[in-house]
Amino acid sequence: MPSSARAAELAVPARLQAELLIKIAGYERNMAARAGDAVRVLLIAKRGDASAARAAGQLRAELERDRRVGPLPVEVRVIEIKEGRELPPPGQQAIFYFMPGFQAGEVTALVAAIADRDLLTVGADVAYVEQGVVLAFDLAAGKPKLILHRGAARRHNVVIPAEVLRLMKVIE
Amino acid sequence: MMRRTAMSLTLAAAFAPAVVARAGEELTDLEALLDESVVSAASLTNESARTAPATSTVITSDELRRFGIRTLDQALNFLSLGVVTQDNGSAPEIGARGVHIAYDYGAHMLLLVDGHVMNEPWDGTAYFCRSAAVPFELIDHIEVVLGPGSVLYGSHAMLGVINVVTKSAKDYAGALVVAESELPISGRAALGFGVDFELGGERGELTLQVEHFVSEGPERTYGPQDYGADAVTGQPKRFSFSRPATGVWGGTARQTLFAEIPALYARARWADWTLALHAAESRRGTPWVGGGNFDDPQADERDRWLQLDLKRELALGSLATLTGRLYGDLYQYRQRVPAAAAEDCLEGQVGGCLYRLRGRSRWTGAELRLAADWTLDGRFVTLLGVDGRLRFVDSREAYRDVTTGVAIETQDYAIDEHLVAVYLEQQLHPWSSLALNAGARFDYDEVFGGHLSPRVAAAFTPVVDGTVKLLYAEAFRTLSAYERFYADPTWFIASPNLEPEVVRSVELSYEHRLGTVRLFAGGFFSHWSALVAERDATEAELAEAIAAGELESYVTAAGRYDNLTGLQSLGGNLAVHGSALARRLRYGLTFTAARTRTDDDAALVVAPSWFGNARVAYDLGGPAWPTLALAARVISSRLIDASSFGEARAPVQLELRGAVTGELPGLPELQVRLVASYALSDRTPYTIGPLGEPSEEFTRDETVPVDRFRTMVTVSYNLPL
Repeated sequence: MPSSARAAELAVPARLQAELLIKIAGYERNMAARAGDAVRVLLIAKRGDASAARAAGQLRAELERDRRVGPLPVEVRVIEIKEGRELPPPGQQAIFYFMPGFQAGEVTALVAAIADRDLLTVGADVAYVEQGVVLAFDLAAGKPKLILHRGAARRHNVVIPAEVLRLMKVIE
Repeated sequence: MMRRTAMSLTLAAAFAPAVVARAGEELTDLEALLDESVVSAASLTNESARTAPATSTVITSDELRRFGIRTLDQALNFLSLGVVTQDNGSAPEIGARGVHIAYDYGAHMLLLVDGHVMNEPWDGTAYFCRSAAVPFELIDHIEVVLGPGSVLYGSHAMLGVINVVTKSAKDYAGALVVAESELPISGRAALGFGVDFELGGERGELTLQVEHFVSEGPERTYGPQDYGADAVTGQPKRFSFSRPATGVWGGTARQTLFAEIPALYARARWADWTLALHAAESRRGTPWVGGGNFDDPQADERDRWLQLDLKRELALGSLATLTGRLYGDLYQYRQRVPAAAAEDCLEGQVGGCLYRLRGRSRWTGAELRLAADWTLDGRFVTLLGVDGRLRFVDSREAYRDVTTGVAIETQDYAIDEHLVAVYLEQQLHPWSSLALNAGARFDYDEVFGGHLSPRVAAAFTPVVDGTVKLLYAEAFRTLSAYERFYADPTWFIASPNLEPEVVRSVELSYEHRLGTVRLFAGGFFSHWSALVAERDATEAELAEAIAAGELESYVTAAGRYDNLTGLQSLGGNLAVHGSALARRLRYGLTFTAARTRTDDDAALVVAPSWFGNARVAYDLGGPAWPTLALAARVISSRLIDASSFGEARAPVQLELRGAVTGELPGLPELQVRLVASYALSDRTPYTIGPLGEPSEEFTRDETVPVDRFRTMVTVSYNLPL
């Protein structure tokens, strides 16, 4: 791990991101089938990116604060990876949450590695949506915003009700 | 595979239940979360305003657009909680929660743009009108942090901290062209752009806007005030070089109500570097500055700024983030007052003079800040910072005899000073329902020595949607060079040994969320000490100043600044805001009341005892339909400053503002906005004109007039690049 690196902080505070994620997961039509007995969230940080690891720790702490998606408990795990093949195989995870710090090409490769998996993919950086992540959190005008990639949602079997989509910025 | 996915999408959309509920049932919760304000000025960390260690509100760019807001003072008056501004005839001055210091020119409120301090050290001035010279289309949001904030920022943050945050390129994409006019008196043209780029494998962005504002008018009628004879010549006093001496001040002003403000703001980010540049000039006419001619086009003020701020953020292991910042500012102020009257000039200048005051400051500094997340989960975060600053201030005052052309310098000083500060802040979140924040900043300033500014805050969430906040904070203000060194041999003695002003404040508030509605109620008490004000010099001080050559030998009365008084302010804030009809209807209401008394149990002049605002906006929906917005602000009656009639008061003021904003059908890039504003009262609490003694003709104070009705049209075109 390098002694210094670019600071990749969470623009939207961890607590607010956690609350928003739990809400969106609750509205997502296929979450119940995907999750099984618990909503398992995998926080994915770039290996060697110190601040991404710290952001993951903050988000993990917030997600583990006795939060539930409806009746389902939330389980959180953090991994550090360098490339897409290190991502876990299809299994029990319902949400892949990419921490800040990945470069555009890296995100594209990660998204390609999980193409067409039944997953809600989430990015802490709004730029990730343009690389094919389903949902991202943004901070604009001092308020949190939700950005959704419609095509990516379709590919990952993510269905968000129209009323909720109305609260998001949707890109194609 | 693709076929199966497509089928599942169709089926899912039709039959699959959500885990929690069908959309709509709890949508208000999500809407409320998306309306949660995120602030950074209170603790230098992005955090929810609910739990931030101060009462904070955020004014968004959407609100600025909806209500056709064009200046910071408009934004604060119509959209913020607890802050009020009033125009003193030269610039709007700011007050908060019952405290409003006349003619402080914003020196008790710290104004930041992207974290860069705008209050300059020569006079502490921060402008909240167009002279702030921040292109408004660039503003992402404005954070308004109420209460003492020296714990992280040092001097000036006595009433609070206002942080203007500019947009990122993602929110200011493409090119923007703006044309605007307050028909028929002003015009503004602006050009800006925002781009993302990649350089050396790193992401970057650039946002920039340049603009030019000019105004002329409106014509205003003052007086007539029959002043009488010039104390030097014994003849009727002259208020013009060209018109005959009548001893009468006033008439219709046509040449001194102008302004011209070019400005540029740019910010570039690349990798972990951020560079901001601000360059601006504000030149405006001054109908009255306490003396001089009436409606003379030479009477003006001019400010110039050049500001640079370079920042780098680095992660130090997984534990900490190091932020380094270098900044430097150049500031220049010039005031010209033409005076045809001998009594307004130096001895011997019987034909009149041109008074000229120049103040300049340069300051540069470096700040290092380390934020350590000891438990790697945000529950125990320590912030340690050190800030060092060098400042150079000089000033010169001269009277030029208009007959001989000879200028006599009456003041000339130059000072070099340094400041070193260390601050420490500890955030602690022992449970999910409790956020604690404690910190202190120690400033060592060459002017007054050391000063410690502590703050302790606790935010407790006893129920999911309710937060109780309790906090104690202190702040101080280093006296400006002007306050310490201003002197004039005809009437004013310098006071170089003034103590810093100090405020201590305690507040308790409760915020509750009911669906998309937020309710806020809070109470506060603040104690201000060592406030600087002007007083008459004593006989002994006069004699001493004359003996030292600081005053002319014939002077029999003079003024000086002193740490004169303290004051206490006790009051409360209420606020309600929210949205309905699928967020198409937005509304807000704030109210502040305070009882403020000086140590002598006197009310504070110009300070309103209550004020508030209300606003509603409705988006008719669809690209072809406009947004309608209506806002109002009200201020209680307040004592007139320097009144000649005892405790005369300016009446309650109600200001209304309506705006319609929409796109042209078939041309979504072109946005048009129409704004109309109206003020009920034509009087402010600031007196104007030379008369001081009541007489048969002078039966009530003449005060700075209000521009009661104004319309504005804005056309902007956003071109994608």
